This record gives sequence, structure tokens and C-alpha cells, in this order.
Amino acid sequence: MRWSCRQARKWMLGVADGWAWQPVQRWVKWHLARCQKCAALWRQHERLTVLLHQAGGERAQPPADLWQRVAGQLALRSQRRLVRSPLRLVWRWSLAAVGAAALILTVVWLNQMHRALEPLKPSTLSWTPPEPFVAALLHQHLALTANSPLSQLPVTAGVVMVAGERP
Amino acid sequence: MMERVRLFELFSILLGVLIILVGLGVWGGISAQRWEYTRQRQARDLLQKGWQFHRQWTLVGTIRWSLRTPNGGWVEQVGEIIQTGTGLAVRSDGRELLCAFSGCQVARTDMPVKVAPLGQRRYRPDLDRWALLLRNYAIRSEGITRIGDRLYRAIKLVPHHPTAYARRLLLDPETGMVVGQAVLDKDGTPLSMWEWLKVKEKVPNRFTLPRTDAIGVAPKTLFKALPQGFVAEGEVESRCKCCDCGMTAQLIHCTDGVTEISVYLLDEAHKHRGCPYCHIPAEPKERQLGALAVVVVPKPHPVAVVGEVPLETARKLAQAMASAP
Repeated sequence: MRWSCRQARKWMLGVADGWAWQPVQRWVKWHLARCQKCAALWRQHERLTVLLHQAGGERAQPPADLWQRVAGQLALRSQRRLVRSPLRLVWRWSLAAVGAAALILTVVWLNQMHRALEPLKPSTLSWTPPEPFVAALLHQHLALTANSPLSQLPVTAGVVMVAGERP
Repeated sequence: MMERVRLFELFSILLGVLIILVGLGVWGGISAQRWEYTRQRQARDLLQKGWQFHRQWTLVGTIRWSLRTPNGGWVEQVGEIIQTGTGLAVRSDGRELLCAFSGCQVARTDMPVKVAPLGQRRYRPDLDRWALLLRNYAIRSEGITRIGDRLYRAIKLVPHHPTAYARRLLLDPETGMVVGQAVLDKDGTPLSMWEWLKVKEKVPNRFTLPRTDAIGVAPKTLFKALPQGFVAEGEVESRCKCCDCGMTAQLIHCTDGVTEISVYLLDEAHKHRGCPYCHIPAEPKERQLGALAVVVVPKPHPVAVVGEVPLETARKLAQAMASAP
């Protein structure tokens, strides 16, 4: 089957009912005038439409007990709603438990973060200050690193200041 | 037929929920990545601001420093940093340490140690320390912390090589001023730290080494022995001036942008006059003072290494330099 035939058959129903776009309608009719196979299908469709219109003359009647059946189904559904499903209860409680656990974990994590950022308060203990020779070396190290933007200058200065003393 | 329709509906709903969840996950991942990138970028910009601030200014005021002892205790001191006519003075517990701006000379008033720099040579005059920092450290934002009524940003510098320690800095977001710093061990334990208790004023940073345009070449052994990430910046020749022992030393200054290492190539003292500087220990000596490692290897050539690096790093460097021909 050619591509044009496929497209024409795709749009045939829309053209027959009249809702297809005008240029499409014109193109389908142009194609039907040239393609015998598609034209045969179009005529078949027209005959079927006429038959369906004729058959649809009588109005269909619903069964007599239809309303009773629908009412019964509605009552059953409302009863089901009143009775709480255990599965739903479990689901709700699980969700609440997960939410509470997440909240507790968040609080603990924030607390840990806060503690990590808090400055430490060291306990002071006695120690052995460095001997004079080390202090002499630190003098020059301190002098060289004084200009460094991120140096530990105060700590080195503190070590030099207590050097040579007895604990 | 109805069952099939319901199954199809259920399948569609589940598929829709799955697509929404996947979409949210992808969107969340991209947003988190973008947020993290912005945070790191802000941290880097603030650190650079702090870097420039401290290159320009020196602060005076009250400072507290503490260092961890090998037995797990802490030594804590509070001192005053004041400006004198020629430099800065650090005062604590009745002791005073003078740091002269010119020539970066340091002297303690109650201790007879006076070492005068004789000359200086630079190995790399174009050394960009900031670029070196970016090459050797990852800058991580550690959030915001409140001290008193002010907010400060915490930044962590994580070294790429195990030869250096990580650092945590507290910076003022407005000025970039470093208000506190801690050197951290591999497991995150602070080894030494300091923090400003009160800043009185800022004075222009005028610390200068002896001014010279002399260019030198670092010893070949040093290139092989230097820890990963470190470069040799220059050398200073110094002589003891506190007595007539005639002790001289060649001091090589190495850095990775943040951490400083001093390598002392010591001369055997001509005379032992009893000053602290001429008493080179007869046996190898190691000392860990908070984050500061001091290693002395007296033989075959007396070498001492001082730096805020792990003891292992300092030891390897000292041994390599001491055994060099």
C-alpha cells in the first residue's frame, strides 16, 4: 500500500463525518478520484453508514432493574468507605512514622552541624615546652612565615614565648 | 474488559508517579549540584578576599591560641598583639616577643637569641602563592556560625596530598578577615588553633625580608626530597648575633601555598658559647608542638626541618637532606 493510500484511509472517517480540515478533505477527495481501491473502500463505508442510520431508527430501552443494580452498588461502596481498611491504617501510620523519623534525624543532623562549627573549649594541661635550640629554630621560622596570609603565626609565637621554661 | 481498563488506569497512574519521581530526582540532583557549586564558589571568593586583606593588613588586639599536646591535653594562652614603632610585639604572661617589620627579625626580650639575616636569594621570584593554594587544596564551605552577635563563614582547606594538614578557617564575610583558624589532623582532630578575642585596629602589613633581587638555585637534593605539592621559594643566610659562636645557617623556605616548611642547613658551630642557637643536639631529635613538627638530624650533615606538617613528612625531608652529599 502506498503512503498516500494509507493517509487517505486514515482521514476517510473524518472526511465522511465532515470534521476533517478543509484542505485535507479536498486532498482525500482528489486521491479518491485517482485511486480505485480507495474509492471502493469509500463507497463501502458510505453503504455501511446508510445501513447504520437505518438500523438506529428504533430507540434502545434500558433493562428494568438497571436502577436497582446501580443503587445496590452505590450502597455497597458507601459501606466500604465507612469501614476503615486495615491496610490503609497501616499505610497512614507508616507514613507518619517515616515522617517523624525524618524529623528526628534532621534535628540530630542540625545539632551535629552546630556542634562541629562551635569553637572547641580545650582543657588546659601541663606540658614540656620546647628546649632553647628548638626555640632558636622557631625564631627564624616565625620570621619567615610572618608575611604569609594564612600562617599560624600566633601559635608559633606562643610556642617561642614559652620555650626554654620548665613545666 | 472493566478489569483490563482498571489495570491500565493503575498502570498509567504508577507510571505517571514514577516519571514524576524520576523528574524530581533529576531536577533535585541538578539543583543540588548547582547549589553546591555556588557555595564552593562563594567560599573561594571569600577566601581570596581574606587572602588579599591579610596581605595588606596586620591586626592588633587580643588573641587566644591553643595547641594539642601528644598526651591529648591542651595548652592555652591569651596574649596581646600590640604595635611598636618598628614592628609588632606579642605579650603574654609577662613575656614579650618582638617582631620587627624590617627583615622579619624576631627576638624575645628575656632570652638571648638573636639571629640576623645576612642575605637572601629567591628561587622563584614569580611564585604565585594563591595559584599554589588552588593547586594543592580543595576549598569547602562549612556553613555559617554565630559568635556573639556576628555571623562568620567557616571554610575548610583540604589538602590533595597527605603531606599536609587540613585547616578550618572562620572568616568575616564583610571584610574577609580571618578571625580564627584551626589545623586539623587526618581524623579531623584540631592540633592547634587561634582566634581573635578582640581586634583593636588594623595596621599596614610591612613585614619584609631583606630586600634583594638576587636569584638563586635550590639544591638538587631538595627537589627530590620535597613533599608533594611543595615548592622551594627562596633561601636566607643567617648568623647568630647573640654570642661570638659564629654559627651560620642556610634556611630554605618551602611552601604549598598555605603551609610553610623551613629547612635549616646548619653549620657546625665554630665555638660553643652556650647560646641556644649553637647547641645542635648530638642525637636525632623530633618534637611535635601542636601542628608544628620539628625534626633535627645532626649527622652526616646537620639539618633541621620545621613546619606545620605531619611528623612523617618533616622526618623524610630532614633525612633526605642530611644524607645528601
